[in-house]
Amino acid sequence: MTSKRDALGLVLLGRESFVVSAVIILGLLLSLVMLAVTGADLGEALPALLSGSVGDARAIEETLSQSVPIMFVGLGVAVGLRAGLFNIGGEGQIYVAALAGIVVSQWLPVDVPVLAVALLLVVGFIAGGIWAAAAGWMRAYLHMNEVITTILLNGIGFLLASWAIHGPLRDRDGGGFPWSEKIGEPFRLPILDIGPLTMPSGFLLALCAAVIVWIFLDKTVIGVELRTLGDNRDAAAYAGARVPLLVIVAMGCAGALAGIAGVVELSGSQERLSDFFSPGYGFTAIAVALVGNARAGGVVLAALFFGALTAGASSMERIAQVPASTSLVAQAIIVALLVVARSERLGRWVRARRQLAAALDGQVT
Amino acid sequence: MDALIELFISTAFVASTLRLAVPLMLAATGEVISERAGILNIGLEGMMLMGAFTAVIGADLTGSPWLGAIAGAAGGAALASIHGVIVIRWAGDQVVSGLALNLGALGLTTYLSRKILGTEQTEVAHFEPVNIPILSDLPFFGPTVFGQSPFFYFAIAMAGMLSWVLFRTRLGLAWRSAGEDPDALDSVGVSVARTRWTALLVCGAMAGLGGASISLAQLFTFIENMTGGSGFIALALVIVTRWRPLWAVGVATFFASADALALRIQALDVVDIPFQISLMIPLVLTLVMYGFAARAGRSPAALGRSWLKS
Repeated sequence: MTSKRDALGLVLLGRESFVVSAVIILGLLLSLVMLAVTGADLGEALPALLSGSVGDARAIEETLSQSVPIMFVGLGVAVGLRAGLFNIGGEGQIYVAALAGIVVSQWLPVDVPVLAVALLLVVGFIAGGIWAAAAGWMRAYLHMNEVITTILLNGIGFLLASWAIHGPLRDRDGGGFPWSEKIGEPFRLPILDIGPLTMPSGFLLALCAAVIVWIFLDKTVIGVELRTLGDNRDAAAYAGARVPLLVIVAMGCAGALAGIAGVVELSGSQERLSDFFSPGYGFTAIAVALVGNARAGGVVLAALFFGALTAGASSMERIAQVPASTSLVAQAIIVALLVVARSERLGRWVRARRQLAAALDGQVT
Repeated sequence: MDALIELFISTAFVASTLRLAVPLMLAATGEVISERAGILNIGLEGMMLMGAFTAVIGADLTGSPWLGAIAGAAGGAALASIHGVIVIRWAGDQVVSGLALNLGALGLTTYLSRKILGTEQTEVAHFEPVNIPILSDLPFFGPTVFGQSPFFYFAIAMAGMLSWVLFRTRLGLAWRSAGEDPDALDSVGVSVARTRWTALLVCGAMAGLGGASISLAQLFTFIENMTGGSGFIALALVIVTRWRPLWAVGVATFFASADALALRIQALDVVDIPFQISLMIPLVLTLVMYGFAARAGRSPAALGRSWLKS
């Protein structure tokens, strides 16, 4: 029965993972074409891209390290998407949470490393959560679109952090750079040795977060309510869900995860807060969540992919003088293709072909 | 008291208000048209940035700021046509497509500006202020208000013209129908897709000109991410205009006056406010204005909804 449909490739077309892989391959090919057209030396750029992302233990650590913040923020965006909300505010949530992390670490110099890191995670969770829940509140009670409010809150959050590190939190012995002091030793996350490889411990935390998000969305009552909200807001309200509260909770969770990204980046990677703390993690995370189809497992894989792309792009810049901003273009092309792949017209076309295939099968049997 | 007078009633304040308002007027007017026709264009920021870039390339190649401005409009419209292919032709998600365009425009202009213009910022052929005869001789603010860059007069003229088109012509009626009730528009035999395409291209060209007004009339060169979020501000201001092109002029000017005030407080050292805090003022103001507008206004009914002929 299914042989004819397989022959038409229709079974595969319906499978999300196949669609996403095809989109990624096509997106990367188009990006390479763009590089070639604009005169980049692909013979030099491609090996640099590969060696910088998966070439050796150092490259793999860089890929994992780059994937940590976008995995956390991406999981948050995914939670929002499942509830029908779009958190574009990752950047602002990262900065606000990292700022809160620095403040608390200086205020409460805990000596026990495990406690210190736990405290930092809680602070990031709360700070990012509140920053995003504000956008949820504006959405629920003032009917303000969260896409626009979170974008504006990005600017405000960044400026708040920037003010702090140019002013009260500035490291007086920082060599003249406007940045905070390094976060205290007990607050730092170590780099782990596993066999021949090294891995930032933040990566393990991000994997744990993915498992928690999966359980939260698929196995808890509130997670199911959030998904109902995303599928059909009216139905959720009719079923007795407190929609305004759910909207605030969903945005709060999204921001809390972005907040954890901020403090983990602080304690596991950069150690100081600066104006260049987040090179657009909040935006890359949107691509991560979309490519991951807003599923925890998908987000993990997508974050690894985009982490590798970022790591590879910066090595391309170092070795082959191809600006790393090309990775932004690749992200954009992949997301744009993905929108087309999930568009209404393509969906319609696939359904029509399925019916045709079913009709053909009917004739054969 | 003198300091307060110095803050508000000075030609420098009026001049910087108008200068800051122009890109927002152009972009917001364009977005009003696009949203009236049902197309949400989150990529406004990217279209402004692309316009700023192509305008500099155009002015650099031809040595004419006018051809540069046209190149800016074309750059914005080119990006808008990608949005059109994705959301009109394929009926894809409008928000995600717009976000992708912003990301792509940032990456592409950064990449290409390093390739083409190099890292040194070369000054290109640009616009000088144009003094309107007689009016610019008026006392007080005459020289300021009537001595702006051509973009200023163009922005006001376009807001007036697009307002007339939107409310008084068949094309405008089609635009509004495409945003309110596309099925009805289709049922009277007008192509929803074609109607939305025209509105979106107008929006892209206007956003491109908005970007060009920054690069060709303010900074005379291209700098990475030089629009710095103006497109997002314009997006929020559109809601405050309640989707009326002429209001874009007033709302953009009001917003720009707050922005200019923040800059003046900084420059004059009246009060000791850190510059990050003064930069925050316009963002917070936008949120507040949006908050009030969101309760009062009603967006076009089919805004953000894709439409396919069944």
